[in-house]
Amino acid sequence: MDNIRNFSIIAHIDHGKSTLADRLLQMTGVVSAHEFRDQMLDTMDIERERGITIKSQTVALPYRASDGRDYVLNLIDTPGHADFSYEVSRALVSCEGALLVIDASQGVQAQTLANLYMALEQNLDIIPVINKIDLPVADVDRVKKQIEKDLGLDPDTAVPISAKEGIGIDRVLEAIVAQIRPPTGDADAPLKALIFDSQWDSYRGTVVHLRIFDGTLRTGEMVRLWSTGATYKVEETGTFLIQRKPRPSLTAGRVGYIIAGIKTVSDTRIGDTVTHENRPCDAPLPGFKEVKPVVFSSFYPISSDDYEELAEALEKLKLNDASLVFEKDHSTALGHGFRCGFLGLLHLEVVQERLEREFNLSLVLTAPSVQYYLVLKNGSEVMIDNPAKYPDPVHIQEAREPFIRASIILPETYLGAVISLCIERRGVQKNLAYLDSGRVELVFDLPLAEVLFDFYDRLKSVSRGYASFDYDFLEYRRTELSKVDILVAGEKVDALSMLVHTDRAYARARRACERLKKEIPRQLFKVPIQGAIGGKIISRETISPLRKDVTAKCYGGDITRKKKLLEKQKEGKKRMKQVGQVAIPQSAFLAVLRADEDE
Amino acid sequence: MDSFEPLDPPGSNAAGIYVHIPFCLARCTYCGFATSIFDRERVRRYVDLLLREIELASAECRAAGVPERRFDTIYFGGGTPSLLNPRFVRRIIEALRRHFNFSADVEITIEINPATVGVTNLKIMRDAGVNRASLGLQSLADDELLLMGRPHSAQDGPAAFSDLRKAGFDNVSVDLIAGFPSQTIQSVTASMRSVMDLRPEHMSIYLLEVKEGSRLALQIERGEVAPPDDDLVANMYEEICNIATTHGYEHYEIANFALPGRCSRHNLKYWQDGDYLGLGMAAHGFINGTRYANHEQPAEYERSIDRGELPRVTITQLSAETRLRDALIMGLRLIEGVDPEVIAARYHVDVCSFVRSAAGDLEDAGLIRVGEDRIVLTPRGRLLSNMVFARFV
Repeated sequence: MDNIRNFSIIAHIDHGKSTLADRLLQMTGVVSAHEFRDQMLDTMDIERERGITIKSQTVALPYRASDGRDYVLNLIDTPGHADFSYEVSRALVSCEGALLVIDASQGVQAQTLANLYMALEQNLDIIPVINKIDLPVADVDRVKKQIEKDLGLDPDTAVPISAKEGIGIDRVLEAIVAQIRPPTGDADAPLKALIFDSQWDSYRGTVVHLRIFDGTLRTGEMVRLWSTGATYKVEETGTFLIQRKPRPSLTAGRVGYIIAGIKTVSDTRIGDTVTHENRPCDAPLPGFKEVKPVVFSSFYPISSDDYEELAEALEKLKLNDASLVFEKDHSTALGHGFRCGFLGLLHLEVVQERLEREFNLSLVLTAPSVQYYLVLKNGSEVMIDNPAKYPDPVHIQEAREPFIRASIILPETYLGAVISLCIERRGVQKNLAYLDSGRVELVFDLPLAEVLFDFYDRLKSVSRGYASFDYDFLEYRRTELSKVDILVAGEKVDALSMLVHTDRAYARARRACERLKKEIPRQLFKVPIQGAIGGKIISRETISPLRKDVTAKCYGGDITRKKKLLEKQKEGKKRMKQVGQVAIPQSAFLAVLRADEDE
Repeated sequence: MDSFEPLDPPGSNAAGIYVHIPFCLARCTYCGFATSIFDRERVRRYVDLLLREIELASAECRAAGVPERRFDTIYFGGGTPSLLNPRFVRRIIEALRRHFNFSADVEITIEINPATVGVTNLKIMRDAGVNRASLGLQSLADDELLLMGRPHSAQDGPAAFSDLRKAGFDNVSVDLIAGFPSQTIQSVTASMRSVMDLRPEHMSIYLLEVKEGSRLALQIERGEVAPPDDDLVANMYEEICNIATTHGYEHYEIANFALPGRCSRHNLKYWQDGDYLGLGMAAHGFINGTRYANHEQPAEYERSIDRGELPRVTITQLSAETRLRDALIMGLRLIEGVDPEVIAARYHVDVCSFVRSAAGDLEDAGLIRVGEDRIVLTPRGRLLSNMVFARFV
């Protein structure tokens, strides 16, 4: 066990996490120069384009240290977004240490802090890595002072590097060996292993990523998953290079995988404990949480012919994404589709983008909603996440919505702006504590529905990126809820209905009407767009009839050119959804649910 | 639908000839056509190629067994045909006359850009047989012309018109653009009134289209120029129609006006399902039920002719149904619309029920009127004609 180190890389966005990972892979010879490409561990197109990590990857780096001994350095790469914070926490639990990457020109940033706190919560050994020292504006001394003052870490342990230029990577590897403690655990004790990720392999089924805390896991043994009680025979155990590498057993302290005939990743739970069937451990590892979707939206194919394809595509994504849930849904306006649940809006966007890109589907989405809890006058209680299922308000005794408790750490300078933002989002201040050197911790209770919609972006913008944000589910609280309907040309478009706090109803209805007016092409007749609560119209816009669609001259008898244009026009119509008399483009549905950037 | 066939024998009506001259002094910002910058040597070579294409085309007509096919129009379009040395124009006309059979009253039109040609050369063209001119005035406001990238000033337009008159042109058409960024109702009607003062025999209005790949499209994309406002353009159009008709012009096609008896005979071929040969680079033709397009690339055009082949890049034998659809798309552009009897006789189809099944809802919406004697677009339907035509593609 002495020659194993398990570590993660954590950083504020763009401070160079993926580049450092790339260099470590190259330096330890895991990938050769000709195999190499940037953002090696981010395999999805979306990850590469957005420069974010969605799905974690693990790789064992073989390393001969200056002490002449051979080590295995397990790098557990983690997702980089709040939607996936539970997965990140489980990955960190699987490590003994973390590299905290800090940009030499930008210094300590909000996420540097948030990530550090998360790592410290897991009691990890932290190695500060000062990256981008090759930049002319790099100020290593300033960053060292921040490391001491703001992070409370020993600045002498910091490693100055340039991941881009490959400077100092060897010192990082040495620091991992020297400063991160080896894993502990009893190889002979009953098996206790943590699932920190599961991935789908079309040939082998679910590949479960594990950290072994105690015991030894061998091929051929029977294992039990603690939370479900399900048992499986282990077909293969192994560790990760870039590809999987089978080995006969995994002992305490190691990071690796098992393949055990598990049909889908949904049969496994991240954070769950794996033990032997015949000699189980006496208690599971702490911290397990059932991950539940918090935001719901219905997905409809633009062309109803694509319904089957959408069903298949969702099944395929689900194979590798246990947190995605969906069930059949039907809309009068949009036909058959699926009600889907997500961890957050980024998760929703990722799924939408993958469906459109990898499966070539054109989709219409309904406004995302949280789950509301309704007490009816007849005494019964229901959970509602779909406006279509919202009962007649006369039957509702009381509505409740989910609240979270948010902890926001920020420099004092931005306190006023952040408090205003929270209050504007119906937040209730619970605490205000001064930390060191002008930093403040603010505790607010906030409705989850208000946090989901661009709260994080707004927080970053009002605090210039310095506020870090963390939250836990708190409770359901009594609220005033309204269902806002949207009518296009007098016809209710059920897919555009939304559940909103009554105080927000007018503003949301007005904005939806304004956006639809911009997106719906003009028709041959006047098209009123109305927002309504029940029978009461609360907002209205009008699209005036189209007056001009003409090709004025046909030069030189070239009718083919003109026909091509007409055909193109016809093609465009196909990407629209006919609702009553009006063809509504996909962009209109998307515009309505887009976050409030113009508020 | 395969059952209906054109009834009248092909070639029973006189056909037209379009000649493309793909050279300009500068490309206009809104242009999406095949043209290139004028160069004396290139033009000379091009005319040589054109003369050989004329021979090849006439040989093909003879081979197809229609040597006696009568032609009654020639139209020099571009590009900027007025940049041609008038002696070249004469040579092309002479070659055409040698190889094709023209009626005595043949209409020969040439597109003229202001400030490209003087009275002397216009006279030579007139003597060569050109009897109609289409003057690309576009606007009578200097700032608009500048934004359009037109290489002439506002005063060059009326000057060119007066030169045409001096040279003996008694059949002149004038082009105006409406809907160009920065144009206002006032500026467009001002240009229009000045045109009315010139009293041309014919007038065309070009409602600006932003063509993909044009400089204008790029300027709009970059936000340097505001995109055209459709409502404003519609208002401009209606205003122009009013002015033209009150000045005694007949509004005979969506975008064309003429004094009595002065419709463009050549353009009517396009609108009335007539035959026309297209000669020159990127030219299009429609003859005996076949559409064709010539190469748009100079090198390919030249290579074909050097090999002794017609420079055609596509040749499409149209089905009777496609011909019917095309005939409706083009014919409904005429204010008088189409005569169901004529079409029925030609295509053996109940054209009224054909149109109603494709666009019956648009009749209800007031865009088209389907009568037993005529099928016509309504005034509103003219401005929304693409919505009607889209039903026929």
